[in-house]
Amino acid sequence: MDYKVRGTNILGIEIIIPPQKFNLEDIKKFISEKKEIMRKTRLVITFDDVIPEEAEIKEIAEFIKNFPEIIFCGFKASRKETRELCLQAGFPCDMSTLELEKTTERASNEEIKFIKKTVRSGEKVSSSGDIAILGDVNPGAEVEAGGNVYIFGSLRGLVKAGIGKKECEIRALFVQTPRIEVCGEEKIFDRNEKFYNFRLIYKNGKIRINNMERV
Amino acid sequence: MEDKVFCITSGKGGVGKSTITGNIATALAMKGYKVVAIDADIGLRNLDLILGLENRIVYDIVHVIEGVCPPEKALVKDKKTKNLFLLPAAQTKDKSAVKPEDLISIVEALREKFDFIFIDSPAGIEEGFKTAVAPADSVLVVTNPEMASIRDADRVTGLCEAMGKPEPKLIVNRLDPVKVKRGDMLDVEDVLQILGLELIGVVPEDKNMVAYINRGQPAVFEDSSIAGKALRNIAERILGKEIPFMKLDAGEGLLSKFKRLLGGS
Repeated sequence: MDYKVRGTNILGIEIIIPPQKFNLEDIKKFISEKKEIMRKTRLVITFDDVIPEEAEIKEIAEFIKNFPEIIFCGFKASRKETRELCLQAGFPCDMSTLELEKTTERASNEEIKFIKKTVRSGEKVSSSGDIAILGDVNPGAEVEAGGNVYIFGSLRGLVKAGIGKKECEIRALFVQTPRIEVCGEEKIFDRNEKFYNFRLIYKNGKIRINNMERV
Repeated sequence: MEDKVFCITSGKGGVGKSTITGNIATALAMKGYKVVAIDADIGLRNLDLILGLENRIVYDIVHVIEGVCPPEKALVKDKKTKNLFLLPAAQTKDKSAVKPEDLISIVEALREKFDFIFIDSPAGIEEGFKTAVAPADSVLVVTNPEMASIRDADRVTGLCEAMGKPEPKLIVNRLDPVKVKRGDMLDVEDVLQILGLELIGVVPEDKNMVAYINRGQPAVFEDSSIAGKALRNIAERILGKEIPFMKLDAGEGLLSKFKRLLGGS
């Protein structure tokens, strides 16, 4: 039985246990198999939509204590009931942001497209995922991305970012463009509006522009 | 420099493609190189006027393609400038008369016999443009310092890249230093910022240019013409020489002072 493993932002490893794979023996076996990669790292076990027994929680924690090399940090849970149980058993437990992460996580079939040239007038670059451009986007050029758009150069053309998504980000070193489209919403700029170090974030239905120096 | 076949293009019409083609070709011929200028603007023949060869055309490029005569026979020899030849366009046909492969075979037939071949592209981005660019080793994009022309030059650059040509070089034509100083015209820097191409020449606005064209005498002949000097410099740069760009200071030169005294701009 395989479990999803991923890195956490506290230099650790997270094992995600989904409901259909909740089996104590499997979990124990998986941990003993993977103990080498978990050496000297912090370990977090995440119950994704799983409500285990208190005794089961204790059993897992006791089992991990057999490996002194692993620094066990506690649990994460997507359900309130699980969190209560973990706390009762005497282990720290955070509410997982898994649900939120799932919605923003890149689907595995999405690509990150790298464009190592200037996108010129009449050209169109599109990707279902993110696009990073090492060059300019000139007037009359179009960039269409399902995800974020990063331009290491000047943006003077049209950028459509976050198509079909609820959140996205556009970054560019310099911006002077009449229009930007994010997640289906439009942002119109004045003819002479220029930005250096431009960062546009679309979140919760709002467009926010920051890190800018207006000229 | 290895590049032998140059195509001068712009996308937008009226920016000075033919004038620049005629002048650069003449300037190189004056230096003793054997040069042929090919007018690829079929149906809108102009290059012959600029070189002053309009009354000497017997055969044209379509005759060559139809097999009426070999390319060498259709070439018009310039009497004023030794070593300069023109392959004129047909005035009675249109762009569909010449296919890219036709022009490629003509250029291949002439390549060994000449030092430089210049192709004057028609305006637009359709078949005429594609035909003109097809045989070129190097593309020179002409733009005026104004947005419409810059955008078209940008489009053409993108198309050239898509056709697998090396990055075009840029000529900024009709730059008026007085207007730039007043803020009414884009500066060369602004143009370069958008296009990001290698600059090979800046040709200032010259009021006498129309007169030179009407007379059929290219501006490079005129020592007094500032545009002629700029065009001669471009020819030098094509030969691979490092020539510094002319300083185009508004209102500093003797000429403009003199003009101001006479009540000119």
